[in-house]
Formats: sequence, C-alpha cells, structure tokens
Amino acid sequence: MKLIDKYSTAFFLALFVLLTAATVNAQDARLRLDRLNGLEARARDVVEVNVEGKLLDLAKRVTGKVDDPNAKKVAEAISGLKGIYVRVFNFENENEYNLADIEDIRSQLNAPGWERLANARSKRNNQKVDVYTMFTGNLMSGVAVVVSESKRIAVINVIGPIDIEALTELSGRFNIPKIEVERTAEEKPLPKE
Amino acid sequence: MKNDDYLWAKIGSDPEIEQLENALSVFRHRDRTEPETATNVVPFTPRRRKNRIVFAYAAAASLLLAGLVGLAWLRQSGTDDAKLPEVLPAEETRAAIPQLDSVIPKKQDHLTETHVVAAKFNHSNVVGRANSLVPARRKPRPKVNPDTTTQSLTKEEKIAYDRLMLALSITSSNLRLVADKIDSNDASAIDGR
Repeated sequence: MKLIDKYSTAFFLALFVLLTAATVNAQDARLRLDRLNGLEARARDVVEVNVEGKLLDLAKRVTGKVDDPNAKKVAEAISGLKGIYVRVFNFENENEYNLADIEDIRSQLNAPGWERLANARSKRNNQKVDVYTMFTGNLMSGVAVVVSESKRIAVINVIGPIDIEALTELSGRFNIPKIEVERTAEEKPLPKE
Repeated sequence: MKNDDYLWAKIGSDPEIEQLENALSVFRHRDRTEPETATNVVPFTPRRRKNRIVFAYAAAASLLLAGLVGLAWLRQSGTDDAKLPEVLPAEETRAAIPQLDSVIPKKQDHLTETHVVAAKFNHSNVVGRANSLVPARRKPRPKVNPDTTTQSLTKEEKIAYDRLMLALSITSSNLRLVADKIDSNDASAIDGR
C-alpha cells in the first residue's frame, strides 16, 4: 500500500512539473497585432516592420560582420533576438483612432508572464508609454513597448532576449537613427554632467 | 441362314455379334497419339523489360531537367531583386516618419555611401546592357568574406540590415523616451526636496 502511495505521489509530481512546463512554454511573447490593421486606412503614415526568421539571421550576421565598436554592441544586444515587430501609426487629427484598439494590445500584456517594467504618463498629447517584459525562468523571452498619444500609436514587440539598456544607450548612434518624439520643455532630457 | 452383313459390313443388326462387341469393347483400340502442335510458333518478347528501360531513361531525364531548373532558379533568386521582401527605402522612411528628417542626417555613415555607389554602378551596367542588346552574362553572386567590412554586403544583406536597424531605431527611441522621462522625474524629485 505504501509502495502504491509512493508511486502515485511521484506520478502526480511529474504530471505537475509537465503541466507547469507546458504552461510556461505556452506563454508566447508574440502579441497579436492584427487588430491594428484596421487603423491603416485612417492613419496618415504607417510604419510596419517585421524582422524574423532568415531575414533576422541575415541581419544579425551582417551586424556582427561590421567592423565598428557600436555595431559590435548592437550585435551583442540582439544576439538572442528571435523576432521584432513594429507598428507605428501617425494620424492627421486627434482621436482618429479607437482607444479600444490599443487597449486590446494592453490587455494582452495583462496576461500571465508579462510584467510591466516601466510606464510613463503625460497629460500633454494624452501620452501613455508602457514597457513590458516577459521572462521564462531567468531568461528574457520578450519585450513589448506600447505608446499611445493623441495623434500617434506605436507598438513594438520583441521576441527573445535583448539588452534593453544597451539598446537604449545606442539610440541615435551608429546606423540606428534616433527618432525624436515630440516632447515638452520639461520632458527634454537633462544635459549630462 | 444367318445374315453376315452386320459382321462384315455393319449393315442391319445381329444381336449376338452386338453382344460380343459390347463385351469386348473395353479392349477396343483407341487413338492415344497427341495432337500435332502448331508449326509457326511466334517467340514471346518480354515487353516489360523494355518498358522498364524507357521508364528509367524518362526518370533520369526528369531528374536532370529538375536539377537544371533548380540550379537556374537558385542563380536567379540570388540576383533577382523582384523576389526580395519589401522594405521601406531610406527616402520613403523619411516621408513616413516626419521626425526622421530632423534627426537622421542625409549623409549617413560609410555603409550607406558604399551602397549608393554600388547601386549606381549596377544601374549603369544594366542600362549599358539594354543599349547594346547583347545577351548579358549573369553577374556572379559576390562571395561574402566574414573578415571584410560592409562594402561586400549583398542586396539581401543590405535589406535585412536596414530593416533590422529601422526596427531597432524605433524601439530604442521609444525606450529612450521612457528612460528620459524617468530620469527627468527623478531629477525634479531631487530638486524639489
């Protein structure tokens, strides 16, 4: 009898471990961005970039090949990258998009696995910026950046580990152009001492 | 007088002789020789073997043809620009993202310049071919040396690299926006103390 109990305990323990592993694996860092497709007709400018698979491998190989210290940093920062998906919509007028469209993305980020790393809110332009990360164990498996303003929406979904700090530092350097986002005077970055 | 017609000519009937005939019928002579065989025998030709040879030739020809088509397709895909994935060229990207104009210098690093020169060279080469109406020799695909700099990038590599850099630039700029906001809030909190 004791032997049966021992085996059943081991069985249920193994089942629990398997189910946990399956659940963790099922938590995909890939966001469903198809709902944003409807905004293309209303937006003034649309930027859609998808880099994954062989294209990404090629780009990573090229980045590692370039003989430049910043390029080396970029290559290091994205060495584990599995995919990057960017959607940017610029609108002519305010409130041309439905808030539900962007809230759908934010609701996906409320799912288990995602953690909000940082967020910023500004009454000017009704700006909301959220940065989310997903970790599988100790390894980062995804990053999401959601930006909504009165005339602009930007959603960035990064799959795989990426060095956020290095990427932030590299903004505007090498061949990564720094895209200026409209800021108020008080939002301007402080001069480095 | 007994009629002997039946005995000698088998005319009429003679019950006595008929009885004898029946009794001795088991010893009657029977012709057991085999029927003559046909004299004009047509030899059988095994058609199946011939069909097999034809089939083998057809299969070999098909494989050869498939190999040649595949080789041609591989060579074509290496140089055919129309099959490459779409990417926003630098000018179109600037048009799509107005902020880029103020940030990205028109004249970028040596990498972009190299490709502009390479593109011009290819264009003049194509025009020259069209004017001379001479069948052009296919341009060999440049070999990538890992030690070389970006000057040896192929068209596919350039597209992959540009697309990744665009995605990273948007990502890093938005990450920088959040970082700057947090920094400015920290600074104002320290000042307000």
